[in-house]
Amino acid sequence: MKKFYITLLIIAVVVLLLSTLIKSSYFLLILNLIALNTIIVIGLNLLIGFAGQISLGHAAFYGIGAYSSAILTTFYNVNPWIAMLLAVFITGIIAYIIGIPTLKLKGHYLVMATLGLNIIFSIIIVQWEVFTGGPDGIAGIPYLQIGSFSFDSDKKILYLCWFFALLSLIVAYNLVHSRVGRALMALHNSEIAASCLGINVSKYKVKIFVLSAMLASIAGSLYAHYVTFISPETFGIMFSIKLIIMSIFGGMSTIWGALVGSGCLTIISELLNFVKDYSTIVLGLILVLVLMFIPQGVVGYITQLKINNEK
Amino acid sequence: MLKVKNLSVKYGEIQALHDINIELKKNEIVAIVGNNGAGKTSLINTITGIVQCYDGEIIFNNENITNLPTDKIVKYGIIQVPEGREIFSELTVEENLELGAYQRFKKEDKNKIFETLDEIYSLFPILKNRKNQIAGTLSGGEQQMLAIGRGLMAKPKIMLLDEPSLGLAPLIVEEVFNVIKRLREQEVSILIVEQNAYAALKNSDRAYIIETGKITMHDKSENLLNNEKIQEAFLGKRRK
Ligand SMILES: Nc1ncnc2c1ncn2[C@@H]1O[C@H](COP(=O)(O)OP(=O)(O)OP(=O)(O)O)[C@@H](O)[C@H]1O
Ligand SMILES: [Mg+2]
Repeated sequence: MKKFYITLLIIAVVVLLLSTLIKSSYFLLILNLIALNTIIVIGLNLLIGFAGQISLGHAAFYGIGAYSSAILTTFYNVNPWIAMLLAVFITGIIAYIIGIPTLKLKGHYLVMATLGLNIIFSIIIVQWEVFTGGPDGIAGIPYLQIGSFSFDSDKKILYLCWFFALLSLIVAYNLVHSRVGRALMALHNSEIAASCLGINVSKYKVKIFVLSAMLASIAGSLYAHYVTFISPETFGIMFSIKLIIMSIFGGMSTIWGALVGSGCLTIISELLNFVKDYSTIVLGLILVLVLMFIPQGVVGYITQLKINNEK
Repeated sequence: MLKVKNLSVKYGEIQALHDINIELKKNEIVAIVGNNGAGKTSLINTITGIVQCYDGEIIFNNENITNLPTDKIVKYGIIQVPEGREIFSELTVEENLELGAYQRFKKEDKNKIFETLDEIYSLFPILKNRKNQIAGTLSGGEQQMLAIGRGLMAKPKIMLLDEPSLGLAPLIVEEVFNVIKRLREQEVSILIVEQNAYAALKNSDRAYIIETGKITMHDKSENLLNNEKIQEAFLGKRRK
């Protein structure tokens, strides 16, 4: 309990230090993307690692957040914070509609449904030009503001992104250690036993799925108000897959795995921009190696080592 | 107390259960004996709402509970101890037991739940000694005890046990059944489905024989134990 918050504090200090040391706006961007990805991946960890379900559509939820915010603020002059809230709400409803029928069924129907969602979403934002700007995307998205303070630079945004990232880690941590978390752990260990004890398994799965979609939506809105320009390629299937790799890499049944996974893979992804066409191969290779040698992910592996040492 | 009437279950085109009629009275131990694939798990899963029935009714204390979702069935006090034990292997023994009282935490005083926990510990002293051990590291017999103890934490009126002898050495099987017989003292009525006909018949009051989804025989357990046909088909006994 205490250890968790101390670690959190250390991370906050490290990030603050980095933000004062780093001058290049490119590196600040990477640091911010790590925060945004952490917000999405912590939701995915809850979904994959605890509820035992996989989503291949989280890039779409990220996109729904980003596009809802962008459209509401640029077309309808809605206040960015309100837009962000509405975006979360919209995303939640969409996730709920997808989750209810698919999560009632045994097996991995959610993967299919979310894969479909991501493909449909990508098509819609390209085709529905009047609203989404088509392939060109939407520009001129306003910055977020508190009073007269505008989050209009990489550094100012950094505080905001990391605030939300650490907040979502805290939410996840408390969730995992609550009665709900116990139920999730049970579900994760044995779905059949969990339901035999009267845990409404599908209800929990839907709730976690909706929560994880909402987290992705928040990250999407933050992204939109940060870069102030969004276009379809950011929200494609490939990003959904990258998010899954982040979750697996860090350790999907862990909280810190979300941070480690998004940290490492966001950086690796950026480095891979230099090898362009081969980047997918390298990412695939990383996934295979992790699954072969440390299927519980980096953080999961370290935790296990610690437990073994204590014995 | 529990009545299953004309129950049929289908998985798509395959019919797993045909016109099943069974009854469980208060404080009884009833066994359902059948071979692999006879439909034992299907029957139990239908009672607890994990599998939907195609036709027929399940009545509990004059209430129709057919096809209710499992969490509602649990509210009635009908608890299944699933096949293969299905303990929460990453959690400790005590956490497993606490999860057994999952629904009670919502509405009952915590102290009452801890009282039950003490009762379980006195019923299974091994579990008390191992309460902080990760459940996955328990032996098969201990895991079965844990699974039963976890079920008891819900204070069930009816307990449905799916092959409690599965994968256990004969001596341990006897131990498990001795515990099951003692559950009568806790006012729990018990339905056991088993492949191990000898253990099941020896430790129950009445029994049904299930073959390819149909009940083919029903009698007092001791009568079935002495029945030649049963001895040949299930007990592997040579004819005298
Ligand atoms: N989910 C399912 N889908 C399709 N068929 C199923 C399903 N579950 C069980 N069956 C079929 O129903 C029949 C009865 O299976 P069931 O598991 O109830 O038998 P069982 O008596 O419990 O067997 P065992 O002793 O091996 O546990 C079998 O033919 C099985 O193949
Ligand atoms: Mg079975």
